[in-house]
Amino acid sequence: MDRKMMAASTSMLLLKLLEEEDLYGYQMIRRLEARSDNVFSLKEGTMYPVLHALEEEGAVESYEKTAENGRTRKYYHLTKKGQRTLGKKREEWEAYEKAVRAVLEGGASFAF
Amino acid sequence: MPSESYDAVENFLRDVDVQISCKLGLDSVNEELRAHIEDRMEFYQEYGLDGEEACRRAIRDMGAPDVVGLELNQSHRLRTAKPLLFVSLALMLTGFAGEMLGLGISWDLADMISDVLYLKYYFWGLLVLLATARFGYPFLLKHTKGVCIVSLTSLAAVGSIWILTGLFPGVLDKITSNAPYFVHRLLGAVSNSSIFVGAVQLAVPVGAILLYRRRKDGYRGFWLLFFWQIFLVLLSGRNFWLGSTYIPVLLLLLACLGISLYLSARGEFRIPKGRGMAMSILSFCLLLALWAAPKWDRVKEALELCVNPDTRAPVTTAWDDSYNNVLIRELLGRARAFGEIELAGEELVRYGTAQWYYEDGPGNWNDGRETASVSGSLERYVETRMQHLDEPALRDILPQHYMENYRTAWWVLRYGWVPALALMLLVAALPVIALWTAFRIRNGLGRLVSFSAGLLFALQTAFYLLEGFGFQFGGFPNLPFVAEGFISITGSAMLAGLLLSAYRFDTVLEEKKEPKIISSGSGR
Repeated sequence: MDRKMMAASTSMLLLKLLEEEDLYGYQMIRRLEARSDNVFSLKEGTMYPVLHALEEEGAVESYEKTAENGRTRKYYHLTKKGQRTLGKKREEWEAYEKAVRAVLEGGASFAF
Repeated sequence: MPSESYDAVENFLRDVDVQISCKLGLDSVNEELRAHIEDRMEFYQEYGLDGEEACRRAIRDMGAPDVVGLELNQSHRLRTAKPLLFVSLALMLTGFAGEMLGLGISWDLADMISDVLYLKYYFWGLLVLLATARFGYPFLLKHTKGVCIVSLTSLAAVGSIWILTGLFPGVLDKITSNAPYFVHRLLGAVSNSSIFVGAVQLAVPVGAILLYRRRKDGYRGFWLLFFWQIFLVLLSGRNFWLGSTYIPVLLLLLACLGISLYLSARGEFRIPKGRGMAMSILSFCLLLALWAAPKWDRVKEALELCVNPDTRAPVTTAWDDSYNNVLIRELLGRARAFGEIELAGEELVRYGTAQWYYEDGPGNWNDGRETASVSGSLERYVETRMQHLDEPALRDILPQHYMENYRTAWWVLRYGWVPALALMLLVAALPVIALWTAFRIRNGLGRLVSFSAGLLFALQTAFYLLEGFGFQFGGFPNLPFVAEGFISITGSAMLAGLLLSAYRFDTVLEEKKEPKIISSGSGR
């Protein structure tokens, strides 16, 4: 998938994953790959700046948990603000998708 | 992990770190990226790759380290809460200018230097503000427990001195008879009730920290905050009769109520939200009763003085504060939109000497048993005033030593309602911006400490503005950065500094929490 398109939708996809349950970074990558049949296979390191930016905005919160193997994992949790952001992004995406589809399918008719 | 793989991971992390300009808190970023690479290595190893190849692929999947670092640099940076800094400095400048004007403008250099030196506590406040903004939050994160212990010990020391001087008057003078001058100054400040405002300003965030640290231990946090407040209320008891601790105690109780309600509403406790809120309100009511009940008569008098000062103005012991409330209400009604209130020379004399109220008006001095002229304090007051009021000015109407308390009322009378409302808007902007900044902080401890600072500013400002309209209850609180003394400006500067600091380091420093152990492996 085109990297620019991927980057534009990454935050929405991450928020959507967190809407279902709290996850840590690696889990999110695996879920994205699994659900998109490996279409969404982004450079994994670039997901963390997106997550940190969402955290700065207050859309997600983080907390740490230590796994049995001793590895400390940073989990992300969707906040109420994040839910609102997700709703807004989803609307924008749907409008964008509709417009693209309309153009690809021959375009809408306009009254002059 | 083989040493080659370890080196490769560390090299990757080092390359990421190079691109991040703020080096604080990079451990946390590295730990997260390292854990991700290790998870991915395990994944590849499960598919049969050897450790070295798994590591190589895991690092490749991360992408170019410089790109990752550059993108992380966008969010991992120090921030400045510019609106809060601007309002704090503007208020400080306003307060300083007000004090300078109060001292009277003189263009003589020696006089100006003398005035500036007299107001040196403003420079001290500025220094405390900037130093706390720079070092406050990192220090608090590193020494949270130590801050609580030192605060408790300091207040216990102050309390001990108060108890000692109460039980054995003069004993401190004997002990410190040969001590240096600054020791006497320090003990004098500690023995003064005005220190209590500063003590409360610092005690509220400490109480918030105590509650926050024990928020997951059932009711323990509530008990800690409850006893912390009892301790402070008992400290205030030494100067109870003065009335000057009424507002600080109310600030303390209301701020702690707000803090525990806030944490309850956010679901920070292990107990249900409703129960947390009920506990908060119950604690507040109990503490209010504990504080007010032993001296209910005095508290009632103060309430009467606030709500209906006419009933208190004739009583000798409280006549001055009551009269000020009456006078302020009378004069504010005559103030103009712009410019100084218009009063004829004769009116100025009548207001300045209180004649309009006690002799020509409804003020019934001492219930009519004696005239104003034979009563000690009023007689002295009126006579002293009469000697100096041949050509009175507006400034002479309000008692000079109260000017700091009636700063907003003075602006209404001197400059008119519109400029005064502009001042009040600027003053009200501090708590609004402080709370707005606090809610933008993501770290739990930083946000709570900042919230407690913003809440204190809000309460102080609300009480001050209300009292400035002639509704004085007990003593005046300080008006943050505008009407201050040495102790209170230290407290205000530390509160604003902590807020600025918590915001500044919010995206780079994280509070250390005890990580929870989970049965893992899931998610891969």
